[in-house]
Amino acid sequence: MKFEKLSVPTAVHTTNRFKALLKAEAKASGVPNIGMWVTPHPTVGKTMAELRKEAEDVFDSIVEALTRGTDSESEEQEAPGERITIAGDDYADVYDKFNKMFMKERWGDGLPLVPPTEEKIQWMLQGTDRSPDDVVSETRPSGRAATIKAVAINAVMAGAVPAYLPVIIAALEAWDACDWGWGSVTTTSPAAPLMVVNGGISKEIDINSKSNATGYGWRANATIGRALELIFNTVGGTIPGYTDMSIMGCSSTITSTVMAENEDVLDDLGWQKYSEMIGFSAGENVVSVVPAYWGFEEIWIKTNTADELLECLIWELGNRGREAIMDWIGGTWLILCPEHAKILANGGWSKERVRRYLANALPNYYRYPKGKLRKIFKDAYPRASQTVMDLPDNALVSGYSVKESDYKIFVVGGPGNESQNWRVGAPYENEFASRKITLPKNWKKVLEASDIMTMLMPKLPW
Amino acid sequence: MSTNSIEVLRPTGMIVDKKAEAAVRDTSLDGKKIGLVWNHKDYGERLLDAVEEIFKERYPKAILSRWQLEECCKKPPEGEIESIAEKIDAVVYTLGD
Repeated sequence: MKFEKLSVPTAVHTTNRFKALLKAEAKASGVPNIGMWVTPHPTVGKTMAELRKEAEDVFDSIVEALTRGTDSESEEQEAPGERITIAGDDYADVYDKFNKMFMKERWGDGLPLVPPTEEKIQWMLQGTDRSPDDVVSETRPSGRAATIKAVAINAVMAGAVPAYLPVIIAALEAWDACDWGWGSVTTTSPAAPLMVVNGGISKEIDINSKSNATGYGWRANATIGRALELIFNTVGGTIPGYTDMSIMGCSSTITSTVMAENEDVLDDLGWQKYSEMIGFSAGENVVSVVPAYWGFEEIWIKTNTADELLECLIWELGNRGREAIMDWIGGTWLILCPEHAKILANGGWSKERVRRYLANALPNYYRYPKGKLRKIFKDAYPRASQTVMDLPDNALVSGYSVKESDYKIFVVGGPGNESQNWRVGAPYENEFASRKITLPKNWKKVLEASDIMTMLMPKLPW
Repeated sequence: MSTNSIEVLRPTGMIVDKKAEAAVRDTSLDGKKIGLVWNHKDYGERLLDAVEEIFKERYPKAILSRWQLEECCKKPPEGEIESIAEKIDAVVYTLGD
């Protein structure tokens, strides 16, 4: 798209299954009538003879795009901020009709939404001192701007409260700063935001950092992440199979994965918070976000000594590195459970020392002989062809990054001795972006208006 | 607002008008410098091989050059696209996948 904007006539390739996404991206970039040449999906796996035939079939459209351009299509005009009245027999009927209408428009995630009425939006906007017209981020693939008001509307729809809004705004700013943030919302991979919150705000608004922190049960964890995802849907314009091309998707695209670091444990152990490790001041409220591939690996280690625990960690993580050899070698994010963290701290290890130890040990632990890689991998894993398959047979290859900053450690969770390992592929996809969370001047009133309900252990229902 | 109706707001944000003029086109490709650019997506370079062959057969007077972007999915490094654009008259871009 950028070539056309630089006055270079352009013919862009896409496959028929990705055409809608390319059209959306073209419109967002300001060149809605970009010249396209479209071949049948997929391109990968085809022989040169098949690719030659496909190129011949569309060659005239390449020439036409370069010499004549594409006729302008009339564009449908939207009415931003449009008010929509929904009537029904009673409240339940209105609510049902509202949800059906929003789902039909693809404004949502499939779960019932809270109606974004003017009254609820004004209530939500108490969570920030910024102007409703301020732009937080330009989104993809639609190119539309997520204003503070649009963020508030989606936060209402997600079921959030005003006190969550500062975190949602900061998270969206951080997402925009991630190299692969907006790219990940349309990718074929199962990617969604992984979000970690540090600072006193976690307790003030009750973001779970303990048992089941990455799971269900806490309004803050669920709706902060859901608001972000709804912004992707409604402002960004992601539609599964149309502009969001995730092959199988993942359930974390409904609420993201939102957690707080367990700072009670970190304080007890004298370990740094993640935000402090990356340069924020102690006590600052910070949100860190990264587009993460869905799924983690369970690290179930039962030992009481730091040396044994580290040896087991290297063993488990090291063996799991093999798959990355043939794809993108990216970051490793260890979410350490408090019991494992305590064992390491009691053995005299700081959080930073553990991180550096893993960063130095893992790339060298499991090194696979290139000569043993099957010849078929050259075509099956085209990305690795350039980095691995052309190496001499006696080379040893690793699935772990040699870049120390690719290794992160967070302490999250409740009792038990199971940690988690999250990974992502590409080296450029693994950088968390972090932003300070800015609270409104009347923060105490916002907390009152939000009626934060701390989730305590209830009386068991059986 | 009556008890059996609600007024809600459209949640889609604000349109950003970035519309740019389309590049001026020449009806002939003879003598034109055509850049064949691969964005690094799988098999895109192979499809460009096929396109290059056909260009050589049908437009022998076109001057072809091949380019490879640093990566497919991340924001391109500052100036990467601009430096290619300075050296070509038209571009055929493949995504692959």
